[in-house]
Amino acid sequence: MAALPEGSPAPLDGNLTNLFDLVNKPFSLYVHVPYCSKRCGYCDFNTYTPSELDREDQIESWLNSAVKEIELARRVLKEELTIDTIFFGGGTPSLLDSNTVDNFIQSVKSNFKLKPGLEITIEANPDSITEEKSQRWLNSGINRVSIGMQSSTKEVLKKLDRTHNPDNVSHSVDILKKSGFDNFSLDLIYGTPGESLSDWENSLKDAIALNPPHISAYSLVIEPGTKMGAQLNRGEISQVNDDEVADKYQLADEMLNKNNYSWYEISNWAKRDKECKHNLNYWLGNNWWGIGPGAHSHVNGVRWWNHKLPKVWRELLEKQNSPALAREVLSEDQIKSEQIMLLSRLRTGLGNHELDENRIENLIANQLATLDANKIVLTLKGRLLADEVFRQLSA
Amino acid sequence: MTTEINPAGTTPPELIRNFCIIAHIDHGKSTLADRMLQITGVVEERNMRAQYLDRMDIERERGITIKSQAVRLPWVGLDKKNYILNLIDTPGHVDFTYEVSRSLEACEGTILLVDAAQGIEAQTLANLYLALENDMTIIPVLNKIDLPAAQPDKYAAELAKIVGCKPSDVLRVSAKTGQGVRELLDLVVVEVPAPIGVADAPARAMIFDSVYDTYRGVVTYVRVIDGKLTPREKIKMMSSGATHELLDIGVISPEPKSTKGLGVGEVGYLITGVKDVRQSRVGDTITDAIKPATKALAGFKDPKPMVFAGLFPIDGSDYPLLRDALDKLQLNDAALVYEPESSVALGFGYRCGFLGLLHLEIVRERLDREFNLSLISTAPSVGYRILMEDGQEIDITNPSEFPSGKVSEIYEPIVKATILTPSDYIGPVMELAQERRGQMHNMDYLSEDRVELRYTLPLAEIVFDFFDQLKSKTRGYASFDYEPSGEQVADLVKVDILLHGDPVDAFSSIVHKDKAYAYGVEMTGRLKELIPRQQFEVPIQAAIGARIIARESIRAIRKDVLAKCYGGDISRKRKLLEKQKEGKKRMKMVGRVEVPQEAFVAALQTNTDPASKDKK
Repeated sequence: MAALPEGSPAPLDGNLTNLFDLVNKPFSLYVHVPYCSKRCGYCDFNTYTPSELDREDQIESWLNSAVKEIELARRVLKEELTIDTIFFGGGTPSLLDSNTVDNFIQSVKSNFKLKPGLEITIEANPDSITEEKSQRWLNSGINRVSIGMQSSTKEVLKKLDRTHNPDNVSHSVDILKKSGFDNFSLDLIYGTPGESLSDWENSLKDAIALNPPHISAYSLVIEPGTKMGAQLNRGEISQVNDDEVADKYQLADEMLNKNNYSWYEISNWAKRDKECKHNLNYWLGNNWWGIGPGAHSHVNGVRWWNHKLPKVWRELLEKQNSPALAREVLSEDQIKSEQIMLLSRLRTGLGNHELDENRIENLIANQLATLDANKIVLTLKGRLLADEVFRQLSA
Repeated sequence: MTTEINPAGTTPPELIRNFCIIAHIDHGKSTLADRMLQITGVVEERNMRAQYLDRMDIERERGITIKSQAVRLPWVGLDKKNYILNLIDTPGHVDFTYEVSRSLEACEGTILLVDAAQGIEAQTLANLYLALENDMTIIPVLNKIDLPAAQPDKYAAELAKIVGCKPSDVLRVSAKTGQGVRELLDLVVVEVPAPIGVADAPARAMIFDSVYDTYRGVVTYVRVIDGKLTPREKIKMMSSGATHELLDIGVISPEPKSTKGLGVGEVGYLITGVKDVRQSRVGDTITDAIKPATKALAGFKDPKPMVFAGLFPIDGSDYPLLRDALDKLQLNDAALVYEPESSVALGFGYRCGFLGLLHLEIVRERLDREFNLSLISTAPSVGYRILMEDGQEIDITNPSEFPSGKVSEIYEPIVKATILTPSDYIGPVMELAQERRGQMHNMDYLSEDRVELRYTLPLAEIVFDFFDQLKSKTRGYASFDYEPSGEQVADLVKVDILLHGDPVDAFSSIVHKDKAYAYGVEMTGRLKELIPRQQFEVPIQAAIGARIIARESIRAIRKDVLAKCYGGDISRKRKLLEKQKEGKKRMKMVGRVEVPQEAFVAALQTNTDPASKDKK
């Protein structure tokens, strides 16, 4: 599992000192559902399979604690903020019982205002999408589904330990469309060891054929501590070289452009107005509260993260305490640093004020970026070398 | 307390025997010296610590003697007379040939000590030749006869052949148990001639060692040839004419003990208050400042550094510490020379000159151990004399000084090398020597299965990894020694390594024309692996002048970004990027190319000799 960052201690009551002007800023909720029926070989998220948890920490107990954390958020934030977006991530949120999802959203409603027509996304495994669920989600207010398609090549899915049948992706899309969903995303992974360029091309073709409003494509990162990490250490699989990954990124960008998808973030493409508003809030440096074990939050320059273990998270909330493990109060420099790192990932770009002109010129000369209405926007080459761009821009 | 018999300063020369021990590392020289201290009663058993005479930690750990000392041992001979035996310890390694020669010069006889389980080694042989040149009496001795693996008959025959005596004349001892050591001391009295000198002539004493001591300043070890040195007199160094007052004079037995003076044939120490061993140089003659001798003793030389390397602190801020450390080491090491050097790749450091490879290693180790300095050392090189077509002559000790004009001739230092090997490995040894441009002079069978090979080799060819190669080709059985032997004209070129068109000074090397290509291929290949990909393609070239002889290229980096960066990734990702940025700050810029210092270290640490590619 990915290690949490190092931070300073978080106060037990979860109190925040800077609540300035929160009502006038976008505010999102991230909801972490840390359960999976099986863990995928590459996954380093905070997830648990049933056998890893005590009876009182199984998926059925989640709602109770999640509602407690909503109530904590309400107390700490002091005001009845308007929520702009909600995102159920995981884990496998589609494993949640439909009533649970509905009850949770009701509890959000009773503590906060919801922006009319707000984006509510749920991540779903293609195998767990049913007509009944789909209908219930819509009724609860969910209007966007992010489907973990990953690949349409069986061998690749097997390497990733994905249990779903690739045919289920189109089946799920049919169900969603039939229920009335007009917004969904297909999430793809490229660069799995053994995946050929034409395997990847096929996955892209298959995804495009389903005409989703949004496509995410991540290059696989084999993290230490995962099953694939161990396979890498044992030499059973080898790290895919960066040039191959770059080729696949370029192929994706080219094919997606041809089919009217535009990049709006390094790994995300969408049809017009179908960008994921929730994720944009992260990159724009906006505020959000993360509910659930291991969830991260950001409010006015304070980032904190919850205890990862569902048991610890639950017990702290039962005592009306904050489930935060640690936090980080960002300095001016760190905030600037984050802005460069995050805004440069976006098509809308990074404002050029306060940045060294020579460095910007240098980026342009090296074809890493262009200037578009005084915003630094990465080129295709620059998107692949965004870390270098960051180093050059952050003094 | 009884009156001392034969107090120093008045010992009749005919009762003095000055001798040393020539032996290979681990053949038991120090153990034998310890046993002699014990048997002659100068050290009581309970005060005995192993290898009493080796003072420095490094010496004790490596089992070698760097700095010699002299110890005065009383011994009653077979004729019942009270003799004084002065045991002069000699440095055991080739790099200190000159110091060895001065130690030998202070004696009339030497014990040739050989391990009865291993036979004579090349180093011992080289020092033996020195002793024979000095016309010294040689007492051949086999040590470690108590070992089960000892083959005394075989090696006695070998020794007898080398020394020119009968196998039965070779004494057999065990320094460890003491067996045969009394007999050996008796033999020293009988065999080693007494010193001869003129008692009423102006004093002349030869310095055979000079050691810096934190409390007392420089302690100088001398052997008196003529006349007498007495406390409080003024003495003069005949090479420089400098005069000093004798603050203390005495003998070591085995602790320093002041005496009323030192007379003809006697060996002891003196202290003048100088703080730097270079003011009291090995080989120099000391005389009476008021009534000086007119002629100095022969043989004084200023030992010249033979091997050069740049030493650079890994942490640039350690540069002043390195300077202080070298200054301190030089107090005790007259042969160490250094001057500031700056390198594009490695920053500020010192170009240092050493007597040889061991000397270099010892200095590096002392800098590390005694001064806690982490250093990068460039590949060792040698000095060259270059004749230009316009008649100008240039001496260089660093490839970076190689002139750009038209070169007429280049002279490189050469050495006379002695290699001893089991006869099974003659083939591989000859192959290696030939590969290193060696010229064989002769080959002698010391015994049925041991062979002595004598070569002339360019010093540059042995400073890299010759010894390692020799060991690996002979399964560790061969031994090797060399001594400087002048210079020769050679077909040498300077190979530069260029990174994106810019030469990297630390990797320039002067190599033989026939090896330039291999060096170029090796270095460009190695750097390709070590230097991270950049924003642009980086050619790595090896060049002689303007001519490219090898080329590799590092392709431009195309991707460095992590595809995912969601809410929970932000802190981690920011920290990662900040860390990478810090790492970039520590990179050295070679032109436009960023090179991590580790790449330089790695490229320099493994040996840079292409011939050794298949070594490990």
